[in-house]
Amino acid sequence: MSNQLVSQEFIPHEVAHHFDDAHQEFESAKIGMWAFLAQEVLFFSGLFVAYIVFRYLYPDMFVEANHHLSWQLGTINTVILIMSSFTMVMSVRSAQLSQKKATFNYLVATLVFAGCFMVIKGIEYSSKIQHGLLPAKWFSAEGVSETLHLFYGIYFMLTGVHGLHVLVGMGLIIWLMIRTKRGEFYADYYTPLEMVGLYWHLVDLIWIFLFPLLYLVG
Amino acid sequence: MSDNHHFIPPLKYYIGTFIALLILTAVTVWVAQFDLGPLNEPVALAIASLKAGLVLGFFMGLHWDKGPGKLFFVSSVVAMLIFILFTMTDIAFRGDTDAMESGYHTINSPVKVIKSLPSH
Repeated sequence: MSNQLVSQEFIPHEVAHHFDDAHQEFESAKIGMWAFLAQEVLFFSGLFVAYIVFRYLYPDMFVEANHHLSWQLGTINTVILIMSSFTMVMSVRSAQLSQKKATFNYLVATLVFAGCFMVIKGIEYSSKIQHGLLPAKWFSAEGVSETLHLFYGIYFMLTGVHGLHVLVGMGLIIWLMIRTKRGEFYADYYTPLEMVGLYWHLVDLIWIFLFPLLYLVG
Repeated sequence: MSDNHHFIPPLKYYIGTFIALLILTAVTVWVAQFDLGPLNEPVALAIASLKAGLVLGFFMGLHWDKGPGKLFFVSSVVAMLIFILFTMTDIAFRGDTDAMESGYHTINSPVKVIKSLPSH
C-alpha cells in the first residue's frame, strides 16, 4: 500500500522498541495468543470431564435432561455463532486489505450476532429458572429424575462460563470498533484484530462441542 | 515496515468453511433424530471434531501457520484426553479388581439434593 494512503486514512503503527521488526512483533503476539488458547482448552476440559463422568454414571437422567432443552434454540445459536465467526474472519481480512469501512462493518455484524446469541441464551435460562431446573439446592422441579440437578449444575457451569466468554468477546469487539474507527488497523498492522479473532473462533469452537453434547445426544 | 507483507488467504477458503460448517450443523441435527444405539455419541463427536478442524484450519489459519500454534493446541488437546482417560479408568472400573463393601466405595449411589440432607 502507498504511504500516502496511510497518512490520510490510517495512523501508522510504531513497532515497539524491543522488537526487531513488525513481523517479529506480530509472530510474538500470536505465540502468546496460542498459549492462552491452549490454556482455555485445559480450563474447559475440567467441565467436560465432569460432564463425561456424570453422563457415564447416570445415562438415563442425561437422556431425560436432553429432552428438557430446546434443540431448535440450540441450533439457531449454533448457526448464529458460525455466522459471527465468518464475519470476524472477514473483518480481519478487510483490515489486511486496508478496507477501513468493511473492517468496521464486519465487526458490527459480529457484535450483533454475539448479542443475538446472548438474548437466546437468556430466553433459555429464564425458562429453566421458571421451571426450577437449577443446580444443587436451588433445584425445585417436581416429578423428574432424582439426579437431574446434577445435569443442571453442569449445564449452567458450561453454558455460563461459555456465555461469560461471549460477553468478554463483545467487550473486545467494541474496543476493536473504536480503534478501527480511529484508523489504527491497516495492511501493515492489525495484530489486535487477529488475536481477538482467534479468541472469538475458540469461543465458537467450544460451542461446537457443547451443542451436540447438551442439546442433541440423548 | 513495507517489507512486512502478510499472507492473505484466498476468500474461497473462508466462504467454503462457512458453508461447510452450516451443512455439518444441519447434518448433526438430522442424524440426532435417529437412534444409532452406542454410535449416537461417537457420530455426534465425529461431526463436531470435523467442524472444529475446519474452524482451526481455516478461520484460525492453522493450515497456513508456520509458528508453534499447532503444537500448542495439539498439546492441550492431548492433555485433555489424558485427563479424560485416567479419570474414566477410575470411574468406569472402580471395584472391578477389589470387591467393594456395599455402600462404601460405590461411586454410583443415588445423589440427593443438598437441601434434602439433614445436615443442611
